[in-house]
Amino acid sequence: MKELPAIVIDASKCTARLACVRVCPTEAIRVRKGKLTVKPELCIDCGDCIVACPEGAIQPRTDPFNSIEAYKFKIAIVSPSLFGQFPSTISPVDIVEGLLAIGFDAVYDLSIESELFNKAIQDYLAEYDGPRPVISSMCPVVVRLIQVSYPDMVDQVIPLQPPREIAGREAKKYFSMKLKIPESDIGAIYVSPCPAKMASIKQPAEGARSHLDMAIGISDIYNPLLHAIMKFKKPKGPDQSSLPDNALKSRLVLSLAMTGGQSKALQQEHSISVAQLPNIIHVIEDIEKGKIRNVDFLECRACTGGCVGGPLTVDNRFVARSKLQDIIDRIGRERGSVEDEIESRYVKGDYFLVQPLKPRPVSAGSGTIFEQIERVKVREEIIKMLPGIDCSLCGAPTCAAFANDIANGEAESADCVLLSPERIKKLRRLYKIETPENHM
Amino acid sequence: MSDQAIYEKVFVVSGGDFDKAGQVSTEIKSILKAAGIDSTVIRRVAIASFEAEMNVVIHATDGEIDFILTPDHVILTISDRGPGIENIELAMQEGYSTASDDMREMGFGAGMGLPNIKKSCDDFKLDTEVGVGTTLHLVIIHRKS
Repeated sequence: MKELPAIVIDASKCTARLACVRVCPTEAIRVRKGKLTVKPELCIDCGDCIVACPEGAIQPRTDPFNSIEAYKFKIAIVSPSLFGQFPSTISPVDIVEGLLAIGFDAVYDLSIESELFNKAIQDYLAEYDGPRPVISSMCPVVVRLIQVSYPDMVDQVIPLQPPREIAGREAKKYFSMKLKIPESDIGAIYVSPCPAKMASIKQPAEGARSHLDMAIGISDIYNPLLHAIMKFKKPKGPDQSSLPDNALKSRLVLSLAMTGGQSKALQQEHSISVAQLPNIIHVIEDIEKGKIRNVDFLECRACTGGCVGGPLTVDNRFVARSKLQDIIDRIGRERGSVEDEIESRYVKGDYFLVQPLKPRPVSAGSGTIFEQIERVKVREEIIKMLPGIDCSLCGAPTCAAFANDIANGEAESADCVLLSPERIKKLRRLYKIETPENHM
Repeated sequence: MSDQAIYEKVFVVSGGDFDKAGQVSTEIKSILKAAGIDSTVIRRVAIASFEAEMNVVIHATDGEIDFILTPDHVILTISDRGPGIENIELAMQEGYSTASDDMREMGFGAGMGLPNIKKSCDDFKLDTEVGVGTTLHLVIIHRKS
């Protein structure tokens, strides 16, 4: 078992099918000698490999559900994406009651925190005069991508705590006062759609301490939750015109779980919203060289559709998004009482990250500029030798990545099937391919 | 000694090829990254080389970008066969552009190309001959001595 911030690899289950190698957006994964290896400094916690692996050898690093018992008072801080994961006959209220039935002592609504967060960003943008675009911090994968691959843009990321963190802090304060118990007895447990948010709790990007104590994947509690809901009631159905206060006070929290939701809420004139890492990388590259200009706000989400399509969600991401939109439409427009609550609770400047976000660039390898450029030249010579078909049978995702590995002394050209007949024999043994040759 | 080329590569750019536009800049960026050059320097080179590449794509029939890395400098020489620049002073003004309406509709021709390039470079030289072409000599210092 090998642990990274967001994933756990069970090498014994790995059959070297290469799906993870091909899907990794930062080319962090290799298969060497039939075994999976990850360059931890390149991993940005997206979880694409978890979804891609046909053997389940890569798992999210979640906390087991029973570990919430470590706390006397257990608060569920729920990703709004959860509300889109059930049949439309099950309402948000049912889901909240279900969470209470399976062992949580309270379910904290993120509505007000989302509004406070949105207001804090508006204040931040009003005073911001740095380089553009300002980059949304909603998606922790994107934050890590920028730290790792675009260190110069780190200062463009909004330096505010996300709603879940603000909620962790506020919920603990609230229940500690209400129940007169120390905050250390209270567990703020995040119910997460992705491994990245779990990683952001265990190792926050800015290096501070999270206000959340642990994270449980939606997929890990889905079954018990669904059974609890089915058991205790006949679902009310989707005809509710409004929702009780204890489920969802505002629609914003749900919109933020979808790509484009934040840009819309901020009403930024020149904003673009992008989902999926290859698209995101493309857009950031274009911004970096000045091809994309005049963009003031950039919202990027690693998952298709946003958090509602996270790797730890259960329903089809497009269906889930549509259901979330239905719930948004059902939440009434009157939110006078919410506005009062936002006004009374908003404290300007109270939501900044405790420490600034720092770059986490990947070094180009050691040595003088002469040695480094020598490696570049070696790499170019190797690329000329390679077939350029990106078959990944060498264990690297592309011929270019393979050439890089050779230049860095991490692989040898004999790992290419087209350069070495020996390699083909080895692979036939590894994948147990029967050929007449094997029997000879 | 310190200004000896340790790496050189020549890229060909075709006028009007918007599909591939920006690839040279991307490749130069990845070479500099692999060479361990400071990321703020890389960004300046990326902007200068991209704008220069776009100028060739937008205005010229074809051209080359000669990229040289020395222990202290990044040297870019961009030469094209094209219309040349009639009024250099005007071309250096922000907002001035001779790009066609079609180009502007695609979002190009904001008139920031040459001024942006100059801003990103430590040394900037422009030779042009109307009806023949334009050559840009750009130097960016990457090691503070």
